[in-house]
Amino acid sequence: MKNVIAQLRAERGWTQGDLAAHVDVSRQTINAIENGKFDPSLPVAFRISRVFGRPIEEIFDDADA
Amino acid sequence: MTTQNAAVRRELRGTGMIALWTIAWVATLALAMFGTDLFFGGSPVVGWILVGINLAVGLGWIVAHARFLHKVDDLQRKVVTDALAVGLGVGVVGGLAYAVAANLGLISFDFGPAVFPVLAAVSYIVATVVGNLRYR
Repeated sequence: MKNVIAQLRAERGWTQGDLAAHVDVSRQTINAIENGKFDPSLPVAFRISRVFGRPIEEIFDDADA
Repeated sequence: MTTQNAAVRRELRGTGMIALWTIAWVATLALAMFGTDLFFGGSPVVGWILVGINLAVGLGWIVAHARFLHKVDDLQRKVVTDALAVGLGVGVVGGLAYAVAANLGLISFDFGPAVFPVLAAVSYIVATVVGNLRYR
C-alpha cells in the first residue's frame, strides 16, 4: 500500500526511529511500511494517523489494493 | 528514543523468555527420555512424573509463544508467524517424506522420530533470519 509517511516524517525532521518511538513500533516496521513492503494493522495505522494529525485516508492510498 | 527502545526491549524480553522456555522444555524432555533409566532405575512412576513435568513445561512454552506474539509489533509478528508456518510445513512435509523413504528402505541411516522437530526447528530459525533480513 502506498503512503506519504516518509514525506510527513521529513516535514517534521523526524528519523524513522523518532516516528517508531511515537508509534511504539520498531524502526524496521516503519521502514517496511514506508517502502510498501508491509501493510500496518488498523491499530498501528490509527496511531500513525494520530501522530501526524491527519486522517488515515490522507496517509495511506489503497488504490493498488 | 525511549519508546522505540521500549518496543525493542519488549521484543528482546519476549525472545529471551521463549529461549528460556525452550531450554527448559528440551531439558525436561531429555530428563524424561534418559533420566528415568539413568537416575531412577527405570521406575514407571518416576517416568510418568517426568513426562508430566515435560508436558507442563511444554504447555508453558506454548503460552510463552502466544504471549510473545501478542506483545511484539506488527512486523515482528508477521516474521514470526511466517517462520512458524515454514517450520510446521517443512517439519511435517519433510519429516513425512523422510519417514516414507525410510519405510521403503531408500534411506540407510535412521534418525528416528526426532527428525520431525529438528527439521521444524531448523527451518523456523532459518525462516526467522530470512524474514528479519527481508524487512531490515
